[in-house]
Amino acid sequence: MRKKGLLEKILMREPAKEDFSANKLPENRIKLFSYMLKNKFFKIYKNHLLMVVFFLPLIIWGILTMEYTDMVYSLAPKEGITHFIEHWFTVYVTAIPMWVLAFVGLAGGLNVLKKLAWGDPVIFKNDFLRGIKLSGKQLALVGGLWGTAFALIKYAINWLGFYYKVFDDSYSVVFGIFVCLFLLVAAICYTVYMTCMASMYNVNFKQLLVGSFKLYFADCFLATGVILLSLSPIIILLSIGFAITTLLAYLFAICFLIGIIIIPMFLVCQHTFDRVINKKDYPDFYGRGLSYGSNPQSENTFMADDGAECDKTNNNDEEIDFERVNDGEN
Amino acid sequence: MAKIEAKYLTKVYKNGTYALKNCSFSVNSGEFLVIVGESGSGKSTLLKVIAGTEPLSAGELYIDGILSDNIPVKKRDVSMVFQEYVLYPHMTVFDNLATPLKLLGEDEKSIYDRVMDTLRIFGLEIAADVKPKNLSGGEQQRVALAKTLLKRSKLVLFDEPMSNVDEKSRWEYCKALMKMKKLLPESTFIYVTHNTREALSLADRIAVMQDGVILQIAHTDFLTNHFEHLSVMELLGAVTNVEEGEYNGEDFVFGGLPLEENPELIDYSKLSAGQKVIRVQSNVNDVDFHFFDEFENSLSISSKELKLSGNLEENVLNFANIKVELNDEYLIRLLRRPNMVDVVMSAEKFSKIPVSDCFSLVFSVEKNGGNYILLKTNDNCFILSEKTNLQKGEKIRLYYRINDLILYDGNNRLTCHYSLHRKIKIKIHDADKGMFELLGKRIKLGKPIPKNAKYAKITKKAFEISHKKGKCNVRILDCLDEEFINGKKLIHVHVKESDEYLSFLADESVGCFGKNKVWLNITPKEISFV
Repeated sequence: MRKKGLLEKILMREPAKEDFSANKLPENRIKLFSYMLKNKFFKIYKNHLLMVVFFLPLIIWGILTMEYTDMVYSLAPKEGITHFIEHWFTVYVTAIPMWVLAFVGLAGGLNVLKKLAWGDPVIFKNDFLRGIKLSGKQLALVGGLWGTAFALIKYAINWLGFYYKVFDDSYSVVFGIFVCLFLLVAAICYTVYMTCMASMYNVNFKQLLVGSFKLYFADCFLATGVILLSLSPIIILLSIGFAITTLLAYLFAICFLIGIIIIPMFLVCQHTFDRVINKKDYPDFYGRGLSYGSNPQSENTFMADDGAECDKTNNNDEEIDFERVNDGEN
Repeated sequence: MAKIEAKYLTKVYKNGTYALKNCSFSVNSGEFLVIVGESGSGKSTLLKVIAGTEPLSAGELYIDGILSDNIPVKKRDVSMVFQEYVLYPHMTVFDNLATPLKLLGEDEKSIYDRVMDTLRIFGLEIAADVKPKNLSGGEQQRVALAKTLLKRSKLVLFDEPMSNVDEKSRWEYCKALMKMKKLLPESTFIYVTHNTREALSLADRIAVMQDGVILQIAHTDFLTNHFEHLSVMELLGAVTNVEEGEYNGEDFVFGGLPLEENPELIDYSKLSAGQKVIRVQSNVNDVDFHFFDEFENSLSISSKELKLSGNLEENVLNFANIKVELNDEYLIRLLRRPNMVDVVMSAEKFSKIPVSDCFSLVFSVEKNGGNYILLKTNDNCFILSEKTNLQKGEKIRLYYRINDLILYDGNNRLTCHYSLHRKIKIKIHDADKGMFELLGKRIKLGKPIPKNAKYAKITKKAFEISHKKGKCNVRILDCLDEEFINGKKLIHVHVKESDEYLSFLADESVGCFGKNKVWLNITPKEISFV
């Protein structure tokens, strides 16, 4: 065997002793979450950065409108109410197209995340773009719906705020805000289920709306808990209300939150999908990425292909028969 | 499609070592040829020569009928898999495969689909996004195969790809290779190895090499039953028991006892009474024993060549009841023209259909051995490695190119591989000073040159090859070719300004490639001027 030079040794290193295998997978999704953070952090981060590009307009818009929002909230109630509709329209309705764009990015990011969670190889550029191609349109609609829902809930919450300032009816306002928050949480969870479902299944928009609604309620408490827990860093920072904490929330979102917080959300959706539909209707998706799950790759692997037994390939040349000669012929 | 035809390939390194000695063979399109030999037998050199990365010292290599000298290395459409893992360490498996396609300008989507499909074939899809260092040796070599499959070259060369692969992964690699062959049915595979098991499991045909010479080339199942030389048997690891004995004129005698039944397919014309014979037991085939002479050459009827007696009258060669008119191209290659000659035809070069400049011979089938037929003409037999339904007694016609005939006078070969020029005409300069230029050197004749003379006519007699510098000589630098013939060496030297070459017979020890100083001493008397 040829002796390796120093540079070659450093660059190439010795090959692994064991075959590369993705079979050493975690047993459940909690372990899968830590397994992904531990083993695939750079890929997750790369995915995050790609998604941030699509979220940037929304984040920048949020930062730019901070001062305007503060100004409107700090006005006297009677003065503020005149600016209320204008502010709502400017900040939240204008943000709807930005939500649409962000959700298009989410389509790409979720496709990559799906592959990471399933233990499939990720070719970033291709998989991200493929995700956008496959579910970008549906997620754009979901983004539009979410943006509208968020705007409406925000309208209601802000209106209640002004109502409290003007009429001081704390019972009605608390009740109203509670309903709004409940709706907001439900909308968030429902949207999360819609995005995850759109990125995984080939369904039409109606099926997506109905299916994800049913699926969310199939695992309602767990899903709500996990989703709220995932969003808690942002929720806490935003709810403190100081400009610095709000900026910090945006900064965290830009730096690493988006890419990471979608993982538990995606995993909890996966858990529900497995429990409710995958085992029966989509066995190929069942338990993907987990030790007990299906692994279509291994079924397609070369070793499992019996057709490739070592039967030798014959010459491609056409067989020519011998020219027979009769007796007496020369 | 890539048909390879190698004619007398010779490669000599600068230090004078011969890596290849007159290697001739052909590989059909879509064929899987495995070259087996020990380390240093010239296998890898042969592969490099075919790839075009190593220049030939002599000989001709044809790829799809085109002389390889006319095909630049880049345009040969050759893929090569080496024993080292040649993957870019900083790129993922996917990028390693995609980069060449990107350079070819393919669009992203088709690159992604093609690469992933190819990886799936080799069970490596799961490793697409990892770097080569995370793969085992076998997997890295499978990636190299995938890379080759993507390129879909018409000629794929393998230089001991499994030598760095552990035992466990070899079988997987072997299966991957066979699958790849199926996917590239028109590509020709040439695979070099020293591992007999690999060769037997992969090859359509096997070529066995030793010391730069191809000892035997045959179909796999045929080769394991017919060994032309004991070395072939040894190299294939088929030898279990060697016993020396003799032939007493009627029977083979081993340990003082004659064999109960004399073996089949023995060519008794190669035997004489009292001759030493070697009996070798085999462990890889149906035939239990193989018989060799004291020089370890097989005593079986040849599967390599057919030898017939003939006579040469002017330009006509008579043998086996046929008359073949030799063409000028052939006649110029004859060293001498004695009346009685032996005509030798290579079994590999017989064709079932007429080819250009050919003659035909009628053979009767003596035996159909399953993977071979024993053919006979004029009491001379030879074995043709062919699976056919021909029955004993049937007659067939085979064709042979005149230019592929080789004539012998006893043990002396008469036919050179190349045209033998006996006389050349060289343009002379500065004639009045008694000097002219030959082979790029100025020669001082020491005798006056006629004033009007423009050319020097030099006959073969005028030259003498020597290691020592003589009085009137040139150093051979531009050797075109050499061939080994009758214990001597025939050297062909290109003559500048004449587009011709001269041929000289020299001792076999005379090295004319590399650093050797070989002088051509010239006898001025033999030079005439025109």
